[in-house]
Amino acid sequence: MTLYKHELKLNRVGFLIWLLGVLSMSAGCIFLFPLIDDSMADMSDAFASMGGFSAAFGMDKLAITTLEGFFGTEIGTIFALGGGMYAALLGISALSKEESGHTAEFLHTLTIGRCGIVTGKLLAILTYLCLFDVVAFGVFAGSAALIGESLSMKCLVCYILAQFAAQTEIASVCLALSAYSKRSSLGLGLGIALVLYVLDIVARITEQADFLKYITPFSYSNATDVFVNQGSIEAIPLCIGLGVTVTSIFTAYFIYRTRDIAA
Amino acid sequence: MNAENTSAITIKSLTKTYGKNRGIEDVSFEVQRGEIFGFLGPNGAGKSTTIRCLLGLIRPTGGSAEILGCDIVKGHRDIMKRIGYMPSETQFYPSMKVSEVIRFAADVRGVDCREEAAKLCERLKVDTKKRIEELSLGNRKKVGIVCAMQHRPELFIFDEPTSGLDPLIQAEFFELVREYNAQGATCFLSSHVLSEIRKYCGKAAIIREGRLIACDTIDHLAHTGAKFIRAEGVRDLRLDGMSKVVQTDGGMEFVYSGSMNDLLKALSAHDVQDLSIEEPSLEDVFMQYYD
Repeated sequence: MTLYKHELKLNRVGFLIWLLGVLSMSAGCIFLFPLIDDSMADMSDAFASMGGFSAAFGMDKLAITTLEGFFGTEIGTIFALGGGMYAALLGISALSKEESGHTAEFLHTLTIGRCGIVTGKLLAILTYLCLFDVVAFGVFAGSAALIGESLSMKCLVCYILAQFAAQTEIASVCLALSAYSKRSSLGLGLGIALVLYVLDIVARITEQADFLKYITPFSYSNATDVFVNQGSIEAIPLCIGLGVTVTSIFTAYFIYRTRDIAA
Repeated sequence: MNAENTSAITIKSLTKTYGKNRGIEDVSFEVQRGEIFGFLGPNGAGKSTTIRCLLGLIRPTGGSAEILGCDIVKGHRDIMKRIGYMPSETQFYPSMKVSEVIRFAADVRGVDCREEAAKLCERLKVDTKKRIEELSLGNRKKVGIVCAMQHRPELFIFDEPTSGLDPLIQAEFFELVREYNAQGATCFLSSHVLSEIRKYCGKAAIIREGRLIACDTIDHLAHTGAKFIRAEGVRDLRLDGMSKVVQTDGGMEFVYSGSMNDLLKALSAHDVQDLSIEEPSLEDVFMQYYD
């Protein structure tokens, strides 16, 4: 519990920066919506008929002139990418930062134990992702209300839950890498998030690459799909994602329990 | 009393290799409870590797060790509750204040150490309001000492504790070690500073190139039978047992650990103008182990 509180405290500033950064961009787009929806009405058909580009951003399924359509195609992308990158950074630095910062000897010679260290850090990551998504939910619902529009609560809740699952999956994969690595590979973490996002776009553009939706968590947490399907999330990619999350967490424990710790 | 009760640290054939690289090989020795035990060796000899194996930071590739009767692998958490450790390069979380680090170390252990921590901070002149990132190496080491001592452990393990500390704080540190030792604590400290080992430790082990080469009381280690020889008028004398050979203007100086008869026979073939045979200094004796 002491380590958990310690981790929350150390990651506080980073959390606030990412929260403000991602949510100010997302809320800013919502506030822009009333100013641009008229001009977009003329372009809506064009946006929906741009083939692969339209498919990549879901503009072939949702009308960009409605707030839900605008949310699904634009804001959902900003939030998914921002949240995924934040989750990756939390995971990739969690364990390896102790060795790269030379604090590992201090931490490991207290009475926490290696499993306790992984647990404390994992709980701190889940807490911050949870807070990130809860605040995002409030900001999305509040911003929509402020401009006199509304988002389907069911769809929004499902979207936020799917985002939490995707962020947890990315953070878990990065945590397992962090358990193995002696260096804080922030670039690798960001790279993983971006590559997974690109895989989702590729899966949407071409049918031959449809199998990629089983690899990337951005497929089952895609805002367009959640809003088009009235809050329903595709089960198989979600279950695979949950499996990857659990496996990654066990891998992190397994690696970290036995690995030599650098000075 | 059986061995388990009297032994603070028992190391049996401890080995650690890093792929093809040497770490430590077949290291065995014992530290009794209540001792101040020195662990000597040049840089890269394997002192820190041995300590890091004992603390469970790295896994030994062979052998075993016990601390306070607990196996270092299976009893890691129990051991950590009962020891205080300070690494050679003490580092903490840069954004935290000194007081927060000290409290964190105590809270993790679930012990109220405020009184002891305040006493230690006062004696070591630790400014608890500063942030870690503002501290020099010496001041970080002082925080490390407080974190290692505040819970009054049964065994202290210090890896080169005095590097970076000014002489006054070094003296205060050893005074604290003596006080805790007088109350029953054991102290195991690694160093390459011979004078502090000689002054404060009753026993010492010497490690070189990953292997233990001696383990005894300081008195016994210092009396190896070696002599410091100064022979005027002698040139190019070669004999088994000679070390630290220096050719001077008038002759030769060296440390000799072989047969005295062989030395006298060899010298008789030279034009010896003056000869002195003395006990070598402790430094010279230890350098023999290092060479």
